[in-house]
Amino acid sequence: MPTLNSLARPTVLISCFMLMLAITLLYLSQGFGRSSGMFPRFIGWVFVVLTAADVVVQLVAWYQRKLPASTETAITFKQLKSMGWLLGLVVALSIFGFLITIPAYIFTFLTWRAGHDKRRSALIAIGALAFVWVIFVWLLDYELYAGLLLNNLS
Amino acid sequence: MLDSFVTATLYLADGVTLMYLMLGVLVGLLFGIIPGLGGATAIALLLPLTFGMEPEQAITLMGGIMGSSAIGGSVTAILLNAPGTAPNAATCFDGYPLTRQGKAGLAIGAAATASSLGGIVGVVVLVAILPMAKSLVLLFGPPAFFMLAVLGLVSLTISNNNMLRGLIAAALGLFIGFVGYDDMGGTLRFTAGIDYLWDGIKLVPALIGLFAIAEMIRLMVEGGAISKVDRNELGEVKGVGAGFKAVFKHPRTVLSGSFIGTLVGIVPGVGGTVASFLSYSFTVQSSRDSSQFGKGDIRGVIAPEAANNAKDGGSLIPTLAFGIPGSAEMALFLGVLVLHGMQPGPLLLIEREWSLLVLIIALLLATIASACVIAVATKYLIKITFIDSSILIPTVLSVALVGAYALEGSLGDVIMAAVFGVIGYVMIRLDYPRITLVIAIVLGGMMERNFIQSMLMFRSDWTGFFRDTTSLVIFMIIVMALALPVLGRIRRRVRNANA
Repeated sequence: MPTLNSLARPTVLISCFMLMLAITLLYLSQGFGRSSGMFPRFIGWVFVVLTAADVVVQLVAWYQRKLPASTETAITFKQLKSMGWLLGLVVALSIFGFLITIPAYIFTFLTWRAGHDKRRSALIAIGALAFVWVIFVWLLDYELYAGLLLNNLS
Repeated sequence: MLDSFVTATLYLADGVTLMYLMLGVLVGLLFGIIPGLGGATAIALLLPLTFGMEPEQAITLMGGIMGSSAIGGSVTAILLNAPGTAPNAATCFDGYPLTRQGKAGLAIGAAATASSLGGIVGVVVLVAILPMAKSLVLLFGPPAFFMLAVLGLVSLTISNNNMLRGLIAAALGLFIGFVGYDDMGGTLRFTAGIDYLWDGIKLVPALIGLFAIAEMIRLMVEGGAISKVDRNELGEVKGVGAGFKAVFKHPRTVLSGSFIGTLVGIVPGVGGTVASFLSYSFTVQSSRDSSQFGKGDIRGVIAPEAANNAKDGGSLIPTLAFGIPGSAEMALFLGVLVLHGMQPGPLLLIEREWSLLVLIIALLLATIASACVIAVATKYLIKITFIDSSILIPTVLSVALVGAYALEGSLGDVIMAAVFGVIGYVMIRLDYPRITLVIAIVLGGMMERNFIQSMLMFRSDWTGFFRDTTSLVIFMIIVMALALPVLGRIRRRVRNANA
């Protein structure tokens, strides 16, 4: 007998999540006017049918123990940590701006996560900053975001 | 046409434009060589750099990338048995055994030459077909355009392993395209009260996220060097010239590969992987002596490489004529065109003929230039695959987010790129094809416009789609395209059960 724990595998959960999303989008589409809602409602019905079929396929495959290896995807700590590094970069960019965050982020990533020596990490960080500055600021004349902190100070 | 050709040639003869072309070639080669990145990531990363350029300069840069990334991918397929891009996988069958026999140079020379010749054939067919496509496109009304877009999405999902998830990704992509203010109905849709979303989901941050950032998250999770092969296993690269000559000893293989590639390229979504495998199996089946295939037959390198590069010319036909991209690279290229105020479709063919010829000549020059670079500098270029991915990850992530910001100077675009990066990674892990999602986002506006126009024409009677002859024919092709793989699977199951 399948236990709740074994049933709650990411691939089945994702299929159920997609079905819920499709139903929500179809429901929201009902609130739009005739012209604005016509196509979203049409696609919404198609979306619901497709995601429902996917849930059935995943459940049948699970009962037959034939889930393909590629969909046996547990959310690992490593994956969450990787997304955390991305989130950290976005947060740091919004607070400190590009020109401070880029070298600091690269240096931290290389020394802390990848275990490179500090001198090499600093050189790569400075090189990346120089690349961004030369291409975007000097050549293309873009004004890079200075960050909430510097904006508030000035 | 001749006037436009001369104008385009003179434009490309300019030093700055040539510099952009060579930059595109080098970037395309590097991203093609690095397994898992490929031309689509290169275009996504370089897209923001084109804002300040003239449209034709941007087209030239992208032409350089598209014309060279496939050739770059063949180098790792031959030397490391690790295809740089998926379409290069067929090259591994005979390319790597040749390397093991100490004939890596022969294989690389043959791959580069066959790629160039394939690219030339693809471009020649494109030039021959475009004038015809121009008159053909004018016969299409809104119902036919709508059905054609559906065909584009459906055929993309067929080439995917998981057809159902491909179709789900397409539906999700269309919904992402609905976000924002609807001009036709004057309504805000799916904005969740967020002001940033009034303008809709911007294509460039979404593309940067789905391709560049998602690949970096994948590399971060997998870790290690980009190449999983031991550096000591790398063979010596000698005898590139012999490979060049070998291609001319097998003209039939080059031509059949090139034509298969071009034909497959014309069908939206089928792509280079199918083209190169089809070309490889055709060459094996049509050869009198096929005993050496898989053990290091040079024809096994020539056939897939010629097809792989020829498909670019073919896939530009639906992209330029109908605005329906056939691959991820073409979807990104459409993004470049739209960013520079060019709307793909019949008007583009008529009004900006010379700009399109700039692209065609740039593609041609890029395939030749990249073959020359590969022939001379392979042993240096291959070293990039041994770089530790931990150096690449923070650098590419930073540059990608700067690129997303540069579009409109909006921090919202940075957040959007990061969100799409996570979505892209989840899609990779769960077998939802990103390319279908991207193409649905790109096609969403066009599909909705044509759907509403058709419904107005038919007075809200949807059966009108089946009374329009062109639309009906395309609908029947869609049904066949969906039914054939399912029928094939059922037949295989019945055969296995009987056996």
